[in-house]
Parts: sequence; structure tokens; C-alpha cells
Amino acid sequence: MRAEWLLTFAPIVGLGTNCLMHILCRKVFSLRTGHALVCGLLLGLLITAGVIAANVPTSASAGDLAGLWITLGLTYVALAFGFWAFLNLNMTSLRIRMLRELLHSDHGMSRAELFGRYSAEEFLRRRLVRLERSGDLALVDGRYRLGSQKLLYLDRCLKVLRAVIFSGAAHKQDG
Amino acid sequence: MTVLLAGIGLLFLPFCVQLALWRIFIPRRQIRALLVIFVLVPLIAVGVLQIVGMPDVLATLSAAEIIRLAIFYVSCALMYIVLYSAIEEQSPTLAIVSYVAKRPQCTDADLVDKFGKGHELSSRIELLARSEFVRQESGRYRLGPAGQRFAKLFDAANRLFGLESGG
Repeated sequence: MRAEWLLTFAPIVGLGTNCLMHILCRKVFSLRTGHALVCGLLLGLLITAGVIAANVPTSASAGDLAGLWITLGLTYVALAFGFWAFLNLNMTSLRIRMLRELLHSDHGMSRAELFGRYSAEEFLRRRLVRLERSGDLALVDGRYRLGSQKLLYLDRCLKVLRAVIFSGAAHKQDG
Repeated sequence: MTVLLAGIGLLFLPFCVQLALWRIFIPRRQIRALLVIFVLVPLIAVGVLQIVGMPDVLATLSAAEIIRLAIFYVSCALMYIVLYSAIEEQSPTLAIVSYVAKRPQCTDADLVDKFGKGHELSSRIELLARSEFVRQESGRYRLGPAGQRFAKLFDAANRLFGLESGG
């Protein structure tokens, strides 16, 4: 009975480990955010797999075992993706940046003040620095070229999903 | 295996409802609409199954398995909803990568010309206003109640997880 519940909550335990490892890596070991994310993700996955392996019912059929591992594995991946997306939003999202700027302003901000705090130039520079740092873009002799294709593949996948969801979709929005 | 199949079935149903609904009208607040769809559709499906007397899958599952199914469903639904914000509007970073892929050898000036005009900032402010996260009062933007909650949540997370300044 206890094993069944431990199995159920294995992905949550993994996610908790992931979060704690991230905090530890950033605050104690001062690792870069990207490295802290990978450490947290891997340790969380390891703990999830460990909890599953230690509590998996011995009498289960091969089909049930496969189903159990896939369900719990996918659950951990989905939770870890949610955590990554949450952190990533904090670091890259324009909308979150604007919300946080407005939170720290006492009387709100005009459009010009918002643009002044975060100019279009800064918007572009930050992205170019991140892309160069991650190796996705390379600046050679004053000209940019792709350093890696992975973001391009991601963009193509999203375009396919966009086509599936919005093809034939209504153009008008309610309200 | 029953949990996995039931979970996939439960996820497929709201996705189909979304596809059908989006062909009739696209909600103004798409993320909120998705949240409503992903909460209501499985509840309605389970209710309909009970009423028409179809074999009840849930009755064959233990309490722990039902919770496992719920965690699987909620985490995968949230993953899709998070991903949807990138589907709804192309991320600026991906737009830059896509632009460079189409125009190899582009210079810094080309990128500034394309992305340095502030169009992205304007469109994001419009999105925030449309979602009622911010409201405009006499020419100044202020946080709405939902925007206030979100901003505080992300501000606290920024401190807790030691993140770099965003944007």
C-alpha cells in the first residue's frame, strides 16, 4: 500500500529534488543558471527513477511495468519542463520583465518610461548575447550566421503546431 | 497501462475540443480559455460516461492510481498550455534565429533594422493589456490584480532561485 503511494508521488519527489538542487547550485556553489538547471533536472530524474525502481510491484506484467514507467517518466518530464519554463520566463520573457518593472513603480509607467527602462536596442542586444553564449549564433567578420540548428528545428516544430491549431481557425476574436 | 491510456485519452479530448472551438472563434484570452477547457472537458466526459452507463474505467483503478492519473493529466496539460504561449506568438529569440537562417551573412545593422524598432515591446504591452494584466489609466500603465499576483510571484521566484534579470 505504502509502495503504491510512493510510486504515485515519485515525479513530485523528483520535482522537489530538482528545485532544491537548483537553489543549492545557484546559492551555495554559484553555478551558472544553465548548469544549475541541468544538475537539478538530472538529479530529479535520478531520484524519480530510484523511487520507482524501489517500489515497483514485483508481480506486475511487462505491459503494466512499461505503462507505469512511461506514465511516471512522462509526468516527471512534464513537471520538469514546467519548472524550466517558469525559470526561463523569469529570465527571457518581455512580458514578465514589464510586469516586474510596473511592480516596482509606485505610480505606474507611461509607454515612453517603459521603453526607456528597456529599450528596443537592449532587447536585441540581450538576445544576441544569449544566442552567442549558447552557440546558436556566431559572429564572424561582422556577420551573423547560425552556430547550431537546434533552435531552428524548435521553431519549425512550433510552426507545424501553429499550422495544426490555427489552420482554418476563425480570424475574429471574441470581445 | 490503464492509467497511461486513460491519461492519453483524457488529454486528447480537450485538445480536440480546442481545435474545434478555435475554428468557430478564437477567445480573446486564449490561455485562460485553454485552462477552462482542460478543467471542464474531462469532468464532463467522466460525467457523461456515468450517465450513459458506459463501463467506468475509474472504477477499476485504485485511489493511488486515480491520483497518479490526475497528476499525469495536470502536468501534461500544463506543459501543453506553457508550450501554447510559444505557439500563440513566435518568441523574439526564435524570430531572430529564423531571420538569420533565411539571411545568412546578415550584419548587426540588418538585425537592428528588423528587431530594434520596438515593435516587439509594443505588441507585448498590447497582449498584457488585452489579458487585463495591465490597465491603462490617463496614459500610464498600471498592474491589474492578476498582473500584480503574477509580478509578485515571478519577483519572489527571481530571488529564491537566484536568477539573472529578465527580458
